[in-house]
Amino acid sequence: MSANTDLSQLDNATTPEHDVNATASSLTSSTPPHSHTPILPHAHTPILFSPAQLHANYFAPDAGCRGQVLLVPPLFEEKRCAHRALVTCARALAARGMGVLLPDLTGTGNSDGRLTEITLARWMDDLHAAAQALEARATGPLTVIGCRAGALLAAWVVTNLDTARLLLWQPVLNGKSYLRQCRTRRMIQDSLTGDKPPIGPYEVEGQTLAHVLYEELEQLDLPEVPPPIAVTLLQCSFTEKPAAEYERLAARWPALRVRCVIAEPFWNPHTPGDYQPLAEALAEEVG
Amino acid sequence: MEQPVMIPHGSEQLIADFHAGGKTAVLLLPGWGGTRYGPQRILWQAAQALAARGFSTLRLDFRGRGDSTGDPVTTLDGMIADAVTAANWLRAREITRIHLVGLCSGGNVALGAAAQCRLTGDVVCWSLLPFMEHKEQATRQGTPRGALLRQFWRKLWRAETWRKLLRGEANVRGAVQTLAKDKEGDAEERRRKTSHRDILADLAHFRGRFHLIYGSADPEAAGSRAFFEDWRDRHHLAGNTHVIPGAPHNFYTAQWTGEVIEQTVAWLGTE
Repeated sequence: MSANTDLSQLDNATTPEHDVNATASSLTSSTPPHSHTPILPHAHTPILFSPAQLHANYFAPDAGCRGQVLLVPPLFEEKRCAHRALVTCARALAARGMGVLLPDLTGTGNSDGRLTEITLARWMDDLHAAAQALEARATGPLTVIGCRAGALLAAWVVTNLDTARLLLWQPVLNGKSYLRQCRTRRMIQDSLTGDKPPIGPYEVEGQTLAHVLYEELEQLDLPEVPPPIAVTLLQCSFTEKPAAEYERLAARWPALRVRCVIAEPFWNPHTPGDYQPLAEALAEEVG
Repeated sequence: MEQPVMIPHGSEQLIADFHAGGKTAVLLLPGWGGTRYGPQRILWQAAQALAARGFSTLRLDFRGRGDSTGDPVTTLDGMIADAVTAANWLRAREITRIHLVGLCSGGNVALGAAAQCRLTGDVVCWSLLPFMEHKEQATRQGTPRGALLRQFWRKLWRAETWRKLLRGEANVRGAVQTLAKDKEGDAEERRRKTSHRDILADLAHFRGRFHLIYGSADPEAAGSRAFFEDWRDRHHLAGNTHVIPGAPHNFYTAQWTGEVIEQTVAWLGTE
């Protein structure tokens, strides 16, 4: 379907919202911005945002809007595995009066684009566009939540957003070691079960990255980000003791508060589970 | 360009991405716990490639999965009902022919949907697993566990294996789990993955082509392939099987992913 297609053709389905900031050529839909068929409580609306018409889910608050939450998802396979947990948590936040936006950055999830064609600046632009799209729908103070490798992006983008609170959710702290882990995870698994797989030099979990993007991600290091004014780290693991690397981050960031939640690693499951306790913990932190 | 759509289904809202191309559509179905873009975005990439060949495409999140509403404790029959609803949604858009592409248990859903909604298109299954009631028979036909044991035994005699073991780089636990654990989960999950219908019997009328793609390193591929090829032959269905050397169950490299998509587009592109 081209961007000029009249979405009213999709008569039996509820059409998505379009971003009010989208380009004129993409706003030929007969569905005006902000209008959508009411759906189930805590269900959400797929939207398209930014001039690139990226995909996102917007979770409208149940009642009056008390705040905005921009939820930056993990990257690569962790994004897919964590998808249902993120949706469940976003619904819990919406039930507490938050307007929540969960974007798919360029070349990730359901959004257009390929990782061979972009740089880190593109993802930062996407996040700013997502914040604008959220602001057009919700009111109140903005909290940016960065989950896993999404925390590396969230920490940087928050430095350019006014009055943003930052919540790091089981964050990845260093891009280089994270990419190395992603690349070796499968190869180690194969060391006993098969031959060495054909993996390209800038390939991460089955997706090839532009070498510039790969190197930029390698450079991301959370402790090097200017310490935010208000920041919480939510650790999800089988222990209530903070991980050593999180304690080291707390030593560098005086404002950092660490909360430990006993939870299975939601970014690595085979089948979605019950994420309600996790969602409640996250909602407590934000709300 | 794909557009997100919400497809009402009972009390649930199924979320999908639709590309309006030609009168023939391809409905892409993820695996048991998956999202509509799939591992390494294989379903998104496949939809792009199919759209470039003129197909309409619909990528679907089953109930309780991805962005769709619903209880995550879902069943194979529930997923089949979702796929049938999505196929009917396509038909309402003047789509005259629907092909189904399914990954892993999405392939089982594709067969279930083909049995119920009298498709006029083809079915392509990537890493299709036997239905629960046929697992034992498929295992006998393929002896996958025996093949795995032989593979591990060969690895045990390689110097590189021992170097990795001593350095702690070899995933011994994972290897043991691969041999010992049934990836279908516990009894309750196996029950949910069992259809109340006899899907293969219901498919007696199916006259489309039935294509299979497997990775040679998928421990369940041998048995499943033997079982479904035998079934395809006995029912005189057209179709091909493509095996990707060295690839595991989810084809997790860019190269293997590309080969799966290329083969699928080639098959569906030829009438």
